[in-house]
Order: sequence, then C-alpha cells, then structure tokens
Amino acid sequence: MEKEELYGRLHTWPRNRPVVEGARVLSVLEGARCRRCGGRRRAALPKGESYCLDCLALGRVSTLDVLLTIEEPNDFVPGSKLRWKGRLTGRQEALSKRLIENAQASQNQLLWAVTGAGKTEMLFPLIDWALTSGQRVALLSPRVDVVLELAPRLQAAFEVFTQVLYGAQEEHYKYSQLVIGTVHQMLRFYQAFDLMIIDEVDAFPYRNNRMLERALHQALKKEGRFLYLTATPSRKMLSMANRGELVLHQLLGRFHGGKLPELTIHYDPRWRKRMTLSLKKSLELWYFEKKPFFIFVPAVDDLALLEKQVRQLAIGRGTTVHATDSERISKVADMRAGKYDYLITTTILERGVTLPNLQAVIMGGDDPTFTKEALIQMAGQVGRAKDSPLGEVLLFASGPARSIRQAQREIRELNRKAEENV
Amino acid sequence: MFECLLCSKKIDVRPNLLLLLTGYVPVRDRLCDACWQTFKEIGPSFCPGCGRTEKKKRYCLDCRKWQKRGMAMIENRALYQYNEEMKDYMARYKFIGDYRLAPIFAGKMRKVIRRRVKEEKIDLILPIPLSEERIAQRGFNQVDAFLPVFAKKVDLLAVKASHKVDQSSKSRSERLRTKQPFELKEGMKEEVSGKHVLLVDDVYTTGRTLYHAAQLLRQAGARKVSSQTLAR
Ligand SMILES: [Zn+2]
Ligand SMILES: [Zn+2]
Ligand SMILES: [Zn+2]
Repeated sequence: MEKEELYGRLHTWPRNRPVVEGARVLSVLEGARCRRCGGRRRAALPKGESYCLDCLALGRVSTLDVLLTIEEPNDFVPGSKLRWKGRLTGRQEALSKRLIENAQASQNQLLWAVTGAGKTEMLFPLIDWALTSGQRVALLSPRVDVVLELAPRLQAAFEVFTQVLYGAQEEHYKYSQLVIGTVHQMLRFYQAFDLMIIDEVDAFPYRNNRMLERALHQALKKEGRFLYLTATPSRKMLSMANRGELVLHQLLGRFHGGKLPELTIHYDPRWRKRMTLSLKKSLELWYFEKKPFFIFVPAVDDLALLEKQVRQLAIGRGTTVHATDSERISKVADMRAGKYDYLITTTILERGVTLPNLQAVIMGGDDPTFTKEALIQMAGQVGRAKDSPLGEVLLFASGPARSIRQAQREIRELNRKAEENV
Repeated sequence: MFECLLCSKKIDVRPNLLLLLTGYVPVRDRLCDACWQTFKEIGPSFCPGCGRTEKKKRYCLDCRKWQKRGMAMIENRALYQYNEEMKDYMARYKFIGDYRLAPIFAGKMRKVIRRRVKEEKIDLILPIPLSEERIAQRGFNQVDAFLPVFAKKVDLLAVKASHKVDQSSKSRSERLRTKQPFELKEGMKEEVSGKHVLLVDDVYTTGRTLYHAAQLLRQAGARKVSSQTLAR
C-alpha cells in the first residue's frame, strides 16, 4: 500500500498485518462506539470479537482490525488549475467573490439557491482559490446521480487529478487534491479537507442523519470549513445562520430567468386503481410533442401499478427506477440519451437530473415520503435545462396535505422574490 | 423492527414468547420472502461428479476434464445453484465477513451432512481449512457453521504457509494450475487410513480445492473421499 493513500484517510487494516511505516494506528472503538461512524450497533464474531453494523455497507470494521491514517500533508503542486473559460452573470460573480472572502475569513457558509441558478459554475472561482493556495477540497452530494453529473463538469473545469468516490465504483482509491463523492464516502477520511462543499445538504439521506453529519466533521481538518448548498434550507440551517454560525447567501433567481413551475393539483383518491382521463390526455400530449416525463410515486410497490397504467396508453418506451435498483445509474443515462420517453420513479431522482423539456407527474403527493422540500425539488426539475424553461408539474393526491400547501406557497414566494431580484 | 439481512427490507416478525424473552428471531424470518426465493435448489437431476444441475444424470464437461487427467472422481453434492444471488450471499458472508449470515443455510447443511454420514457410511467430516492469517482477519471459517454439532469432525489439514494468495483473486485457469495448497497435520496419517472422508466447503467452482484435498487424503490411505458444498 502506498503511503500517499493514507493521507487524511481512515483505512481499515487487519490487526495481524505489519503497519505501513509512519502511519498512525487508531483503535476501532471509542468506548462503545465505532470510531469510523460513531455507531453503537454491533454484531458478534467468535471469541468475543465484534464488528460495527452501522457502517457495514462500507466494508466491515471489526475488533480484528485497526484504523490507519497519516496526517494530511497537502502534498500538491501549487498554482491555479482552472481551465474553465466561461463567464458568470453580474450577480453570480458578486456572490462568488463573497464566497471566497468568507472562506478566507474561515467562515462556514450556507448558499441558498434555487435549482437551476447555475450554482456549480459559481463555485469555480472558490474552488480555484482553494486549490491555488494548496488546500484539499471535497465536493459532496448525498446522491450518486448528482456525483456522476458533477464529476465530468469539474474534471473539465480543473486541470488536476480528481478522485471520484461512490459506493458501487470499482476504481482503486488514489490521493488527490480534489475529491468528488457521496457524503457516505467521508466515513473513510480523517481530518483531510480544508474546504468541504456539500450540495443538497437538506436532502435525504443527509438530513437528520447523525452518522453522516459526524462523518463530515471527522473528514474536515480542525481549521477547515464548510460551504453548504441548498435549494430548501431546513429550519435548523436557518437558525444556525441566525446565530451567526453560518454566513447565509441567497440567490433566488433562476439561471435562465425562468420560474419554478407551480403545482397543478388534482385530488384523486383512486390514483392507484386507474388513471383519470385528464392525466391520460396530458401524457399522450407530452408523448406527441416529444417531451420526456417523470412520474414520481411514493413507494416501490407503486412502480409496477403505474407502469401497468402507462403501458395501456401505448406511448413509447419507459422504465421504472427505485433507490436500490442496481441499474439505476444506467437507466438515468439511457433516459438522458433519449432511449426512454418516460421514467417512473420513487423520490430518488428528484435532484440533479437535467433534461430538456422535462414534464412531471407526482402521484400520491400527499404521501408523507413527499416532504415539502421533495415536492419543491421535483418541481424544480421540470424545465431545468436552460433552453426550455417551461414545464408542467401535475400533482395527484388522495386529499389535501400540509406539505403540498407549503410547497405551493414556497414556490410562489420564490418566484415572486426571483422577479424582484432580476 | 427487523430487516432482511440481505436487502434491508422490513420484515414483520410475529411476536412470540421466545422472541420476547430472548430476542431470538427464527432463521426464516431473517431474510425477506423475495430474497429467499432467489436461491435456486439443485436438481432434480445433477452431475454425479460435482453435483451441479444437469439435464441428464451424467458427468458434466468440467468433470470429464478431471476424468481425462486421470483423477479419481469425488462425489460432490451441493444444495444450491451458484447464481448471482448466491454469489452475493457468499460475498457478504465470506468476503465482507457479515457473520450474521452464517445461520441462514447452516441448518440445511447440517441436516444433509448428517443424512449422508448415515447413508454413505462416512467416518470423518473434514472442513476445508483457511490459512491462519485469513482466519485471524475474518474471525471465522465460513464452513464451520455448516458442520453438525455432534458429528465426528477432525482437523486434519492445514494450509501451507507458502500458500497465501487468495483463490478468488485469481482467474479460473490460474486456479486450476495452482499447486497443492494443503498439507496433512503431523501424526494424522493413522486417522485417515481406511476411512471414508467427507470434505465440506462453501462452494464448488472449479473443483480444484476439493481435488487437492482429496488427493492428499487418498495418498494418506483414505478409502474414499466425498464432498458436500452449499453451492455449485
Ligand atoms: Zn461503524
Ligand atoms: Zn431481502
Ligand atoms: Zn460435474
């Protein structure tokens, strides 16, 4: 094993094997807690040994192992690595300057920007500043789809080796100044990063997940800082900003000047049984106009129900996707490539997918899985691509729900603010 | 609340006294129905050499290759087909080392081994050993859970110290070419002489491992060597 691969890492290593020279050896337990994830749920092995169940998905950490790390030395080539030649709008540029100023002043920050506000490009000057000054930077998202979408854009923008990290990937880990990955991967780092940018910080699975929150803090250097990105800040984040623990920036206009589509609400308690005539007509029209569409459903069991309903209309090709679908990534890529006309999905695709002319239907919008944030994000998906700002979002619910009301109100509010700001 | 050990789907376990008192969850409730159904049993007809599902009861291509090389055939029997789901199970149980998966097929394996011991007049049960180093890292030998509690088990074989490379990290042809990885433990020759030995392993892939062990035992005077695996 290369020494470099341990820089700022938390690497599981068998207790009975010789340790790499210069590595610090940490025990796998801190009291009754797993050092890597902080979890307490354990399973027994013979002879009194045990392993952590809370982070088993990232490989077993047992009492037969130790954890190795080498203090992050920031062993990077100095100088700017920015290749990107694009331009920011006046407002984006002003904001990106403020991001750098606050980072220089060692502040944690929260950037509140609606979907489609051109967030990623706005980060380039900040990332460039950090890389130029020899910092190690992580750009993280809770979702693999988003990581896979961001990675090529960042790799094109910066001339620096970038390690991309997510669960299903097979590539061998290499030390890199810029890391792009899922939040879960931070469980494998230890005081590594000077700057951590966390996208969609209010999205499942990050929200209210103490293990992941702890992992982020463990991966950050003691003197490092966070930049959180969100389209729908939680009350917790906003109150942190109020207390001065975070510097809050707002960017509420959409990149293309378009608005978030409002929800068109239909009450239909029998949506699982059959499709209303008006919905059938909308789907047929979209297909006729060659507009791709998503149908969001609350539960995995609903996928087949809806698929059957849509198939009866004979409107092109589609498929279903759910969170643990092993072909999830390839199906989304196929949709993007135009191989599918529609996708029926659980909430998992609500973020990060950019498709021109996209339309959406939300079935069972009153289901508790669809939080206010989720509904706004789903709406934000529609017409997200720059060249086609108009889209429709049809919401079918068994009855009224607070989340729907709040989402609708917030969409109108955001649109109003965006208009004032332009 | 209980979750399927393989797919994490929630499972309704009917509350009963044993569960309330000891927290014991019956093995069948540790996986969801969908996961149970993905495992396909061998049969009804299978290769008499390696035990894989075959249309007719005759030696499969792999086994005929062993025959051509002049090897004495071992009678392997397996419970399940080595399909993707079984591979995934093995990966989690062995390679990730999730020891909670040990009981899933342990009952069935013990039962079939007890039956074979009786019907085939088997004298000794011999689990395929792991190297000391691997045992120390994994914390268990995955085969141990499959052995009947009260049967006569012997620790005859050891993995040679020089043989450290993990079988699964090699290609099929590499595995077929490997040299004898086992050696008979000291003073064990008398134990084997004239006996019918049943080797137990988790999976029969190329058969190389089992043939190596069988060869060693025959050289030591075993009357007959058969084997039992969970998957083929
Ligand atoms: Zn853990
Ligand atoms: Zn399952
Ligand atoms: Zn065969």
